[in-house]
Amino acid sequence: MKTKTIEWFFDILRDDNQCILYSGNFNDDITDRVIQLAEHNIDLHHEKVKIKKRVSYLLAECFQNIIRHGKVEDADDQMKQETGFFMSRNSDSKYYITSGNLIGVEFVEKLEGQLNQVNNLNQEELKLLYRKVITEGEMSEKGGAGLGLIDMARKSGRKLVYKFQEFNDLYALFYNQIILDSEAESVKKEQGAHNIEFAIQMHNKMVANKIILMQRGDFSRDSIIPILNIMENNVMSAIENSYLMKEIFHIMVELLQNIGRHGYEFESEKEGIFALSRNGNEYAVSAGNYIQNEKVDEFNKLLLKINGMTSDELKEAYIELLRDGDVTENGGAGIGLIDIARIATEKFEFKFSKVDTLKSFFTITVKNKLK
Amino acid sequence: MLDRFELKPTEDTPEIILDPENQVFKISGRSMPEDAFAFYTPVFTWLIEYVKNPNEKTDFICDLEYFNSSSAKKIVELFFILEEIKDKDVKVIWNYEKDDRLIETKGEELQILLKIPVEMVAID
Repeated sequence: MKTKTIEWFFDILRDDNQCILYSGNFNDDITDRVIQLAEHNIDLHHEKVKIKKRVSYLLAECFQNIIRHGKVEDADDQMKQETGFFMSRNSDSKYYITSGNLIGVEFVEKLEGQLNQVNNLNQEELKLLYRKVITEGEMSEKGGAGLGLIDMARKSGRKLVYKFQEFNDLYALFYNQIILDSEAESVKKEQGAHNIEFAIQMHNKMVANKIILMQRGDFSRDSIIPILNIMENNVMSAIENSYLMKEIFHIMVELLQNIGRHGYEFESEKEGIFALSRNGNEYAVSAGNYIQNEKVDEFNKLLLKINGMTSDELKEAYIELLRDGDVTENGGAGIGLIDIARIATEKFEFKFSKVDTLKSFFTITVKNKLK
Repeated sequence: MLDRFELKPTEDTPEIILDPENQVFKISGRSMPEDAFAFYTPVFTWLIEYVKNPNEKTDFICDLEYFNSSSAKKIVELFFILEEIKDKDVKVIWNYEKDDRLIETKGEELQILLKIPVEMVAID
């Protein structure tokens, strides 16, 4: 992934409290864990239990909807890979849950009809319809989709936002967005960057840049381990080779802990962005965060120095740091970067962009593949 | 004899058992605390006491599945303490999963760094 891509995403997501984007195939494991990651983010922001329950419910419903409407058993993996999309964002006391998936063209009309039906009803009417469907059976023969849609509209208290896009002769792309207010009095209108068209644009950008997962949030100490656990147990389990997976995990640990140690702290959070992408058999871990301007020079020099070293020099430097280096003071950023430079298959790609008089935005991408 | 020292594993720290009476010295699991310094300090304290009056034989087993770079630094420092009793029968037994290059390499580096033997054991 290119540095300018991570900057593009960060610019958009910068004011979010939390955000997670996933682009790829959907299966039960992945959906469970992406939900878990999204829930973990809600926990961090100390939302009320009631809101958390509703968000969790809507997340799950959203995924079930994807699986129900999918009907894409015959679509090839590549196709599914490029069309599965999930995004959960929280900003301005609102939660935006957006999903995208393939559906058979023959279901488009019916689904659109159901969505219109649900959107034309007020809350009271939705409640009645819900009861009717529960007692008298589905409003469609397609296992419970109707009920799910009604419930999504009820729980979010808003119209369902959706969009169909052409894909090919057999399939269409269905995007769905649910918006949930965590404060009833919130009256702010959705900004451009939150509407469904923009979500689709982000999805396209992820596909074009082969990004599997992107997360924007707080990377201070307590937040990193759960993220890593979830990444490891799930998203990364797709990596065929367990040792390659371990190396990529190691790169993630070092880059994320690096943000925790050196990131610019604002309101006791170290905000950053992190992404995992895959191009053929090559994986790339990218991280972006603010750092204090006065740290830029030294850090830049360190990275240039590491990039200029041969593998033997890296090994020697690593062993020297283990022998003598005092890493207690700043937690050993140098040793961590040297360590991952040794397993990376390419030189680090990195960039510092000055933001204001206090801080700069730092991005780094580390690539690895099976050797 | 020094009392048994034990740390239960957590999701980001290893299990550590130091039990001279039963001849068990073992670190296992994963070690990736962000503040490795704080985590390993009590282990150092214990080992520094131990080397004052060690067993005749100390086989220190490392069965680590993963550790971050700041833990690597601390683990090496642990073994530097054991170097003080290199006249006794002391060695590190470095277990790694066969094919796990990452952990194997770390063991080989210990062999370069330490003045006590590091026995590499590939586990199937």
